[in-house]
Amino acid sequence: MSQFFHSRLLAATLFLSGCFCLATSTAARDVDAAGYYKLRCASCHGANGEGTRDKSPSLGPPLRGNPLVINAPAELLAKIIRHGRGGQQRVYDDAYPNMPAFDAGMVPDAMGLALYLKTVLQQTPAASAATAPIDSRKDLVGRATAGSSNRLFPPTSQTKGVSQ
Amino acid sequence: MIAVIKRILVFAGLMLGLQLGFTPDAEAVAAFARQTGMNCNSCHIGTYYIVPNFTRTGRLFAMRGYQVPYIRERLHAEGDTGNNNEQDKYGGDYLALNWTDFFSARLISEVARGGEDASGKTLDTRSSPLNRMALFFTGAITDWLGIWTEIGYLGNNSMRSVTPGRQNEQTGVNFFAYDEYRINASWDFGKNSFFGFSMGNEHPNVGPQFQYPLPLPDLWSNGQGGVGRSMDMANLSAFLFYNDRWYFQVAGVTGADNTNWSDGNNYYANVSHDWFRKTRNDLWLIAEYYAGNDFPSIMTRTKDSFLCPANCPPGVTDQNLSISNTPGDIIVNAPVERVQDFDSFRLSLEHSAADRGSHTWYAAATALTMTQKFESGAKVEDTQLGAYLRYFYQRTYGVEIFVRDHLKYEYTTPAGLKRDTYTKPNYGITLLWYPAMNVDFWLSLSPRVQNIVFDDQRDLYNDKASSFVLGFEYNL
Repeated sequence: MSQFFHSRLLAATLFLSGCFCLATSTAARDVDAAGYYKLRCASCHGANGEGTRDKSPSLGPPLRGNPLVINAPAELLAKIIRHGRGGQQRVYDDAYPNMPAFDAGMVPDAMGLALYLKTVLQQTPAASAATAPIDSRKDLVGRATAGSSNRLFPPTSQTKGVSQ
Repeated sequence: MIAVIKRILVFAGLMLGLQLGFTPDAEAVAAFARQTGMNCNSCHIGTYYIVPNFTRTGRLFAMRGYQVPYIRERLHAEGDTGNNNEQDKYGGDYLALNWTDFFSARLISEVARGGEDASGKTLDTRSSPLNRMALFFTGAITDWLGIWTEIGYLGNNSMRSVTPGRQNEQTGVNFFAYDEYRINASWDFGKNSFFGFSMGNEHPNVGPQFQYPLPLPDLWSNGQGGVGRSMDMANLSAFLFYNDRWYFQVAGVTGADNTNWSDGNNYYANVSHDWFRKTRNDLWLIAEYYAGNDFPSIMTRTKDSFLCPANCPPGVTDQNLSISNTPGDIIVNAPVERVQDFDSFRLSLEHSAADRGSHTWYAAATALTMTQKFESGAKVEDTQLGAYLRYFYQRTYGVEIFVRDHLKYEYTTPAGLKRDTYTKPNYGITLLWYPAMNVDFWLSLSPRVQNIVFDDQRDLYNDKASSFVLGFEYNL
């Protein structure tokens, strides 16, 4: 009996520990995404994704409401984060410089950050996008992950017109 | 000369072989400039030799005082590199600088330098394995302070002899260290607007882009980054950028030969307007005024030589130093005069286009005029016109060409006699190859190295000299 109880207790502990770790991992990913947005993206794209066209020099376009960010697969955004976007790849005919590349040492989870850009940054109030509570993001991340495969990245001819 | 051309062709063949050996991708190499976190191409249109032509972002980076863009994390304390997400990364007055930042360096080597002297005689083809090396930092120090500074060294063989009769020869032993800085405090106000103040030890102008060695008319010694300590001055400047279009700057400058405010000083004003305000299409009209009473004569070498602080021994001059503190084009046999006061005006039109399809370029046209009144009662008037283009295909293959001429260069003696001068337009061409963003090779040709003579001494005019330089630069 005691052995049976201990086995059950061990199993329950392991199960709960697993759940806790999973929850912690998900939450940590969200925290990391928000943190890394603030650390790596905000100085060019604005603290709330509003862009910096109102500053001189202007460094980056708005990401909030940006058709490319909304419609492109997260994988593509992650690739842009990893490899940068400059020169002839640049979509915007505006005053922005080339976007630098962020390797794994600078942004460990590019996909997590891409999902953050597509979800939390798009749908939380502007003033609190970078500091939104973790709980409010989980559902958004899930929806974006599910929906991203059904959305088509708009052709280049459309995105070239993107400008604020 | 034929042998030299053969060597150049062999070198070009080797370069072509290397070129075919791998796919050049200037975008993909050296992903970060450590000091700002930005991609090199974001701010620069090539960095050939020491001339860092700018994109719109790069120009505003200089105007803004080197604070934006700056996207790398800043240090809060030793060992804290800002990865703790609970901390505010972009606020506060903490130091953003790390000592290792200064190990950004630039190495320039002249593989071969040669040509013909004024008599048409072929010069020995020489090499400067280390022509110059510089350590530098450009970026934010705190949220409101930014600095550009460079500590440089001119390597063996880069300085030329001052021995009479050997003035085109390199000494192999001379070197010269220089330090340059401009520190700025600036703040945003309103939409696309900022203002600030700066202090530095060179000419304060940052509106027009830096040129060297004088492809465009410049009698003010290039401004920032131009002269090192060869023209030691101090300046205090106030600047304002308004509504993404208008740039204003005023400055006081100690003068052109020392940092002593009491022996005279100069003042500077700049009004610039930007038309299209795009990375791919940026057009500036820049009007500058520079005047005062502390400036050397543009007709002769200045009195304050590195080698001869007082009077040079007979036959020895510093005219062949690779960096000279003479701001103008000297006139052969011009009398030595001391400037009482001067005024100067420059109008420039500068266009930059970055990554417009496969094409990237910087182009400029400049008109400059200076009048100097001398203590003797004489005066000199110089009006110059010049044009310049640096073009890149795929940011990899480039060419740079310039032409400039004196429309009027006239000396009036104390007695009122006008002596016009004679010369021909000066021009040059440079071929550039950038296998990577931070490595470039160049072949520079100056078909006409000439002098300027008084019109009544036209028999002294000589344009037989020519020169070429084959070199490379590595930025790390």
